[in-house]
Amino acid sequence: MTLISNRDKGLLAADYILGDQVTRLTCCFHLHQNLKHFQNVEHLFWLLVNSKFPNAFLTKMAELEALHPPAARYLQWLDRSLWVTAYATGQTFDYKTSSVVESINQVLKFERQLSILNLLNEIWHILMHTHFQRFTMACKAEKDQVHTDFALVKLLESREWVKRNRIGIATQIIAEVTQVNDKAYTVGLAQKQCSCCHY
Amino acid sequence: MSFNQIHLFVAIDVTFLKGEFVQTLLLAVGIDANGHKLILD
Repeated sequence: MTLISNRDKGLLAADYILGDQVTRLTCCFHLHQNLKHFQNVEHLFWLLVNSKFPNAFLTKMAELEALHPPAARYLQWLDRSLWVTAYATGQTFDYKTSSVVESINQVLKFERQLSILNLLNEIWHILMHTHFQRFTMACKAEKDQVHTDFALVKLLESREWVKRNRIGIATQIIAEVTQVNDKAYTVGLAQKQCSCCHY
Repeated sequence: MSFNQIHLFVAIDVTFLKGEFVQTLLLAVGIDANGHKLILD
């Protein structure tokens, strides 16, 4: 279970209740906003966040430290497992920001002007509408359908990619995969890693 | 009810209400198998 938040004071106070079974993440957009106080370091921030390996992270951090020591100290003060891909312990589903919930906040922009009872009533109606839509979609699905429509599209897309990729063996332990868009990736068969960083 | 139908990923945020009184709304949102956002109830 992964929980992402913007380290709100109220949420931090309740943190101990969740225990060790929940992986915490910090919204990187909010960190990015904080980092705007330091000039000329924003371009390095997302490189640090998206570092897939500790070595890459340490290299970029050294670069940041040379460029702007206070900004580096601010980021070093934070727990790396909360914001760096290389150190994140739980499954993040590729989400690095709390945009999921921020977008719902925007959806409720006008409802938030209502009194508390009317607001709760509106949220209840939105929820019931969502549940009804989901139920209708589930009823339409065929009985022998294993995947959801979303998963099926993703699966078919991946199969198409696999069919079109060209694979060449460079050495006994290194292969090269060239995609349709001429992007080439190196696969280390011994390390079982690809330079695309997804595998 | 929604909690059983989402990925093990929850985003939490606190937002201020704009009504007569100063109040905050805590929202927890998950992602379902179709990649849609789902408010947890």
